[in-house]
Amino acid sequence: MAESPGEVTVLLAQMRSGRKEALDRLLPLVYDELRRLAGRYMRDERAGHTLQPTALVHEAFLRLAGEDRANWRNRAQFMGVAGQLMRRILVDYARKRHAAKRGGSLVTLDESAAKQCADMARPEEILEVHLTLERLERLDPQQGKLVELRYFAGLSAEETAEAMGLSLRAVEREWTTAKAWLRAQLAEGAS
Amino acid sequence: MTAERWQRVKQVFQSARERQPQDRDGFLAVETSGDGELRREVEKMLRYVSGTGLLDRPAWDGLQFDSQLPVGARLGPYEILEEAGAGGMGRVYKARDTRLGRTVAIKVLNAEFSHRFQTEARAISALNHPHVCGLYDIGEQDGTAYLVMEYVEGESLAARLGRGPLGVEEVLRYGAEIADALAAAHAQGMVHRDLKPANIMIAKSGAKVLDFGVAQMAGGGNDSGGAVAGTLAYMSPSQLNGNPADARSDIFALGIVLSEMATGTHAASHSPASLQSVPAGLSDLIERCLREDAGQRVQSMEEVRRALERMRSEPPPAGTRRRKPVWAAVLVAMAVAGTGVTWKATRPAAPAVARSSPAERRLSWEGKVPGSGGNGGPSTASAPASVAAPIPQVARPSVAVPASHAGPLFPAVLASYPGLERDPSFSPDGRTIAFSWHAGQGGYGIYVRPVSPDAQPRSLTDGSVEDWGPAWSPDGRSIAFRRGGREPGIYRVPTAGGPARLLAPIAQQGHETLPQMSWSRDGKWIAAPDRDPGGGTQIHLFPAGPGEKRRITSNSTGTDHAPAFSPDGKLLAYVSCVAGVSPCDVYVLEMGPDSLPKRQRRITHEGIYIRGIAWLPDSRSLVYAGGDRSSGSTYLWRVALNPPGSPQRLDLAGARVRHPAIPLAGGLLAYTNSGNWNLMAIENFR
Repeated sequence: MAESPGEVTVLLAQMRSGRKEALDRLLPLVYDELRRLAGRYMRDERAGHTLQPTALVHEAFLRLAGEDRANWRNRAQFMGVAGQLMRRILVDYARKRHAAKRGGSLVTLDESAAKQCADMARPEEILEVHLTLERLERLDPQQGKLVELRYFAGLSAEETAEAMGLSLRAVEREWTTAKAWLRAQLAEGAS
Repeated sequence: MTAERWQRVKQVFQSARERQPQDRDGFLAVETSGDGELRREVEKMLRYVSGTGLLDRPAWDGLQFDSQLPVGARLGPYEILEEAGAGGMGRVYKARDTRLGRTVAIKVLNAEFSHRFQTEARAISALNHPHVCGLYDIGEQDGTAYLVMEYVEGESLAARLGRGPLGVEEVLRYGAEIADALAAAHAQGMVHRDLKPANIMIAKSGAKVLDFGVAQMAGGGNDSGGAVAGTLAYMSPSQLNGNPADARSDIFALGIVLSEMATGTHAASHSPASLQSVPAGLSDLIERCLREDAGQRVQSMEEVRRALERMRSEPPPAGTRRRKPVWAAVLVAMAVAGTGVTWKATRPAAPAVARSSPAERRLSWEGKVPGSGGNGGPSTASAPASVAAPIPQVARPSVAVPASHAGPLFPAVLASYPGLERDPSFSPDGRTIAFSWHAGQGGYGIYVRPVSPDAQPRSLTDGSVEDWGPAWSPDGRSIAFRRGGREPGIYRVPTAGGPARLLAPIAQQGHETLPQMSWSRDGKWIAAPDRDPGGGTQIHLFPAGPGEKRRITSNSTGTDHAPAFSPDGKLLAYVSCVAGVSPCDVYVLEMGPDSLPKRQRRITHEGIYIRGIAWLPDSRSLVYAGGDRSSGSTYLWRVALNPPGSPQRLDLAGARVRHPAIPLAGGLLAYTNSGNWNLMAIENFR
């Protein structure tokens, strides 16, 4: 948790004014908050609630930046940071789970077999999307950002448009393109 | 591919997408003429563009995290001080209660074990025992449900055993304390199922049993998926074979723990020589705990406790060193043990031992087919109506199965949801029940549900504070309830739904909840207890609309509570306790016009602890839940007013009865089982 609700706002402002160390201080704050909130949403889902992934990032922002300071500029900037961090969190997590499956060392016997089957497909998918996306973002950084926001942070098209400063139409067109390319790559491999 | 090339692919793809499918081929032919590679790339993307699948769900949808709380994090009023331990099922933190300044232990279960959290909360809350680590609170923040427990200063028995065996006196003392705790659990129909040195803390005050996380109502069929849970090294042979744990599995586990305490090593590594130093009485007892055939084992934890206590009080005769013990059976049983991993395997869901228990039964009214009852099917209209007669008990397959389930009347589960349910109350037409439910998050809320157990409950209050004791208005349109928290008061909410309205503030409740309230038959008044500044609690009539409350009983030192208007509206029964909330007796006020009390009559002379009153439909007799406060045993009693009689105890509902309720038309008795905080019901109750 941020030391004060305003800390994130200040750091975001510093980032805008080009102070590199601001991002270094911001990342762990947002990272911790997102991890904590992610855990919460996972639990909610287990309890039968509807999972609303986008709420996580919004809430992280509100908690960290303070609601009354949540102006759109901060917000868009924050979403960008959050998308990047969500990707990192999920990839770390997926690697661990993946390693556990391959090596067997982390899988304890008290995780039921059924549970594992349901859960194992996703970590692999996340890793594959991540690796394939690394190729795409070298060619097209904007596409990388977009997939981070839509897939890793779970933002809607509207929210992504706001965060990236694009029109909704542009976001939809770019997202369709990215999805088509990633799916094709993952299904058929590089051509 | 280069960035420029990608821009070209993207541009052609997006332009092709904007065209009608039948025009795409022509478009592509022109756009990519002479560049087959480009065309193949775009066509491949076009094949994957439609439909759903990969990337349609956010990456983290369906994943599960185990998040660790950092030092200084807050969960409600609790501040995390340090992580005190992490296991396969969750984490335990040392924390500080910022309101009271005391240190507590907070247990957060991983999401996949959250169902066990509920079991554990119920189990511990039902067990208020000096040698069970106590539960202070349950809470929820940001979807993290947690248990707040007594912080036991000391070390685990496992850590203690790392330094070698315990002295005989210590073995007997801790052993007796553990056996006492487990005997109390068994008496409530609860089996620990995972007793081991790591789950036993040694504190100054003695042993404390922890982690009822896999505890289960014996025979309750509560375990999902037919999985066996527990720790391999302490499982009885029967459990290892996939049979359901019963009280005797705990006895087996305690046998291993006792031998470990006495020898300092796990029983699996025992050689007969290492056990020869154990006094004969103790090694005999251990051997009887560890018999492979559960039928040959000591049959009750209470017996184990008594044996240990006996040895404690008798100094061992000089020079009693045992003959070579009968360890063969023990060693066979031990041979499988030793890994210490938490073991879980699937087995057929059907229990190996055929038995029925109240928890497995379903209510049979409204044409519902009775559930998996086993022997002794549910009562029918022809069942004997006398409830005062002693209910025959069947031979019980184990000590852990609650009594009295084969008589002509038996309790069936009315509501068993995750969390705690209490304070049942019938609508005037008897078709709906209102009750208070704590689903494990927030506080208690008021819910209503058709009486049929298959119906879904509907929430009337948001459950963010503590709402108790629903009472129906005579027209069935409103429910009055008692709310704790910051604005304690009598509230009123429409049964059809809508905002709850404060009728009158009341004093902050004391330690005990006094949930019962009653709406007068003319609909004008709600009778409820309220505390005066001097500390006494009296029954007051709160107007259902505007107006002033009226005090109708006087009690300057003790507590008057549990008011209940009789079905004919002429009488108001209540409980009057001399000091605090015990000892108490039942009194009845004769009500004159406009609910002015005329005469008071004392009905019982028992001087016991009482938790709720309900009238029979004829307004001539009533039932109440009464017993002993220190042990928490409260039975159902019935007493006649007209003609007067002496109270008779009805054992059929067991020893954990609270908040009895009977609809105006009778025929059914509902109550809270304070052992598992489920709502129970007895059909054909007359």
